[in-house]
Order: sequence, then C-alpha cells, then structure tokens
Amino acid sequence: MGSTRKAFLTAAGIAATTTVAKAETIAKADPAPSPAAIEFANRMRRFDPSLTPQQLHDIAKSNDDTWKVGPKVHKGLENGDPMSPAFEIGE
Amino acid sequence: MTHEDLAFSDATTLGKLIAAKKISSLELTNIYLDRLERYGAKFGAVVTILHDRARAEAQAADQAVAHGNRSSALHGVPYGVKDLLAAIGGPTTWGAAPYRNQIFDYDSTVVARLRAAGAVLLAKLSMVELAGGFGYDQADASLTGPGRTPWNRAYWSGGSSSGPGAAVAAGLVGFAIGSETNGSIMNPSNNCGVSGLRPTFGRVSRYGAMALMWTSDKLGPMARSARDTGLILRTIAGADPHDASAKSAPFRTASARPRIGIIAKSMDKAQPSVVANFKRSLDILRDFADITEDVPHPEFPYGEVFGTLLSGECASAFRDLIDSGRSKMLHSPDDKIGGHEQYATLAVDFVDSMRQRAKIDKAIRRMIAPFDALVHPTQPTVAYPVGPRFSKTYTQWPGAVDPVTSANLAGIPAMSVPNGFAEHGLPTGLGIIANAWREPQLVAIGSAYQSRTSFHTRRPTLQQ
Repeated sequence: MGSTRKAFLTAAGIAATTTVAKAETIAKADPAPSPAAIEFANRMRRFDPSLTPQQLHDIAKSNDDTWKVGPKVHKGLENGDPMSPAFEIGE
Repeated sequence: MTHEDLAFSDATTLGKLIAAKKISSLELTNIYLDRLERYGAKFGAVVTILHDRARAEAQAADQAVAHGNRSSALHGVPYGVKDLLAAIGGPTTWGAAPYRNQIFDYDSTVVARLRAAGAVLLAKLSMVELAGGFGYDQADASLTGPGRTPWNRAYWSGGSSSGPGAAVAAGLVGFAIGSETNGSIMNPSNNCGVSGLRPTFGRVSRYGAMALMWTSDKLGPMARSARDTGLILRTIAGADPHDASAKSAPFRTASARPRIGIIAKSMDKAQPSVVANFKRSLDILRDFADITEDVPHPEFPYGEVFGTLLSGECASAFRDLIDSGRSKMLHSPDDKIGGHEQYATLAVDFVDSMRQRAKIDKAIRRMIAPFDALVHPTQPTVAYPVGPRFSKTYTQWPGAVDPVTSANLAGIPAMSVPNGFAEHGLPTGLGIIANAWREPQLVAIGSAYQSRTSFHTRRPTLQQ
C-alpha cells in the first residue's frame, strides 16, 4: 500500500497505517535494488512489454523487500508446527 | 415521516413500516432510487443503479404483503451490494477497468438469499479496484473515482467497501453488503460512521463473490444500526453447496452482562481525538459490562504474515489478469505493477506464513477466551484526505497494535459502531472483536452501546 509499499505488506482494505510505516522504514534503509531483484523485475516484461524503467525499478525494490520477509515469518517456528490446514474455524 | 426520515431509518424500522403498510416497498424503492441518482456520484458511491430489477422486486414484495405473505423482517427493504457480488441485471465490475463489462447471469448466494427474504436490490456500489489486492495507496484507486465520506467530501469513505459505507451513511440504501479480507468493512464503517459487522470466516457463502484471498474473504452487512447487522447476517448466513467453506454454525446467545477487555496499547500512537472518543465509549460500556484494562495483544509479524499470504493468493486469483498484461489497465499506479510485485513471493515464505498463522490463531483465541469481547479504536485516525498518498498522511499516528489484521488472520468476527466525531467533522469508530461464531455478542454489545448514544442516528449534510 503505497509508493513505498511492498507486496509482502499489502493488504486488502486498509490493513493498517502501521504496515505502511514499516514499509517506509524498510525502503529508506535500502533504496537501491539488488541485481537479482532487477533481473527478476525485468522478467515481468514477458507479461507486459510496456513496463517502463521506473515501473521496473519500483518492482525491483519491492522484490528486495519481499525477499527480506523470510526471517520474520520463520522466526519461532519449530519442526512440528503445522500449516493451517483447510483453514476451518473451530468453536 | 418525511422522505428524509425514511431514507435514514434503519432496516429494522423500514421492515416494520412495510409490514404495517405505512409505506409500500415501491414507494421506498423510488425514494432511494431518486437519492442514488442525486447523491451517488457525489460521494463516488455507485457503479450501477438497477432501476428495472429494483422496481420489479419491490412490486413483487408489495404483492406478497397484500396477500399476507411476508418473507422476513427485511421483506421489501431496499439495499445495495458492493460491486464484487454477481447479480442479474447489470455488470459486475469488481471496481476495476479490466472488468468494466463483466456480466454474470446468476445471483451470488448472498443476493439470492436476500431476494428470497423479500429484500429489494437497488444498486451495485463502488469499491476499491480488485478490493485493494494489488496495494493501492490513494483514494482514487477505483473505476468510479475516489469514494468520499458523506461527512466531508474532501475525505475518503474508506476501503475497500467504499460505496456500501458512503451509501448507508448518506441514506441512499436501506442497508448494504460489503466484504472484508483485512479491514474492508471495518475501515469504511469507521470513516462513514456506520455500523459494520465482519462475520466469522465461513459464516457467509462467498459464491458469486470476487475471490481475492480465499482464506480470508468474508461478506458482511453495513447498516445504520447494530441491530440491523444482526438481522441481515442471519438472513445471509449458512451452508451453501457452492462454497465448501460456508457452514451453518449456531448463533450463540449473548451474555447479559458481558466481560469486555480493552486491548493493551490500542490507544497508543493514535490521534488524540480518536483516543478521547474511545475513552468516552469505555465509560458507556462500563454501564452494562465488566471491563478489564490492558489485555496484552500477542506479538507476531502480523503485517508480514498477512501480506505474504495475500500476495500468494491474490496473484493466483488474478493470474490471468497479470499474465495478460491487462493489469496496466488498473487506475492506481501502484495497482498497475502490484501483481508483478506479488510474483516475487517465495513459496517457502508462504508456507512459513501459513504455519505462523496457525500459531496466531491459537494466540488470538487465547487472548479472547476469558472475555466475551475485546475493544479498540477501529482505526487510529479519522479518514484520510482524498488526494495525498495514504503513506504520507497521519504518519505520526500509525497505531501501536493492529487488532484488525490479527483478528482477520484468526478468522474471528468484529464490529465497528460510530462512537463520536473528530477533526473536520469526521466520525470515529469503536471496534469490537469476539471469538469465532459469536456475532450475537457483537450485536448485543453494539446495540446496548447504541441504546445509550445517538452517534448512529446523526445525519450528514449532503448539500456540501
């Protein structure tokens, strides 16, 4: 959500201004996309050859932020922890 | 009653007036159709007005009343739906240019159930394009332009159920159906000063609704009173052979004197006016509930978990749109590339997020277990202004906790009821969360609160 919002922080509706603030912090900390992120962004031209250099730059920055999420979503997980199965809501 | 009084009555009252033959469904429908024509575009609230269908359903409802065949308490009451629900009679645009001419030849289950209950479908209401799945950052991210709150047109009606919020607040419909994946009922209910109920995941069938995130999409009522939301929910709830996630779960009786916990830090980093209104709400809640302060909100990477799951599911749901390059037809600059950004989501992060979600689910239920409900300010600020990027607005008030996201990850229900007014004449909301399948408790608390306050009965000046 935002010019600096990253895919991993997006949310339908207005998830929270807190997530936007986090995205701002992340973006300011590392403004330059990595070569891998740029390469992956360029692959998106396969779907839309009209993507502009600025759009590709923005996608690349988002890719880097997306790939930083791993340690946070993995933290605290143990080998026995299951996935939410079919996401049935119990009583 | 004047036409204005009728337009701003709640659905429960309208149903009684129709039953008592004090007004016909057709008369009421014509009043709302006129108001939709006059004010719908002004607040960016409407995509399509269904004149023919509405009048035909209203006439059928009146004939049934004449023969003593009233179908339900909502019989003859006109309503609108967010334009992500399929309905015969007009396009279903999902709020997005690539789907501008999309037509379905069937009614979604929610619309079909309301039709069976005798309610009258007036209009398809506006929404953020694709319900915000691609990461918009401005109020104009919609096929129909920015949604504007009827309390002050310079400010956003909220998203992604923008039209349902504005149309209910402006008295353009008797009630509305919105949807929420993460905040899309709660936020516009807050911004428009209406009563919104996000049901438990699985309470309401999504058949015929746009899919954004299968494991979090919910449909729910937005109305002018908490009691309305309970009535509407019971009409649309239940198992559906077309949606395996939908269940016929019981509606449990609400506690007479509820135990309510205040989520710790929910007033931190919130706009002072929002905090002041919330504190006044707590004083009213103490009148009929036992209050416990500082209930800890467990710490998890909610934003990252939700965002990762949304990215994976949303990109899958809209894969055809992204792969065809047609996502560039979306309005918001962020949405034009959002799908391409979501393709970078790693499978391992998606799986880890699902595993975190299982832990979050347990932790949130443990947090709520000693209580009948938890409360928090619905949003840390009043509505965003139309124009500037959200990420550049109210940056000093980001909120310290995010109970909207945590509760959505756990699939549990919530309600927002208006609890006052603040900067620029904008409304604020009281957020209430209950454990799974306990919507009656939310309705009871919201109704008890509204029996002691009048915020939900106030009317915006539409001539601004």
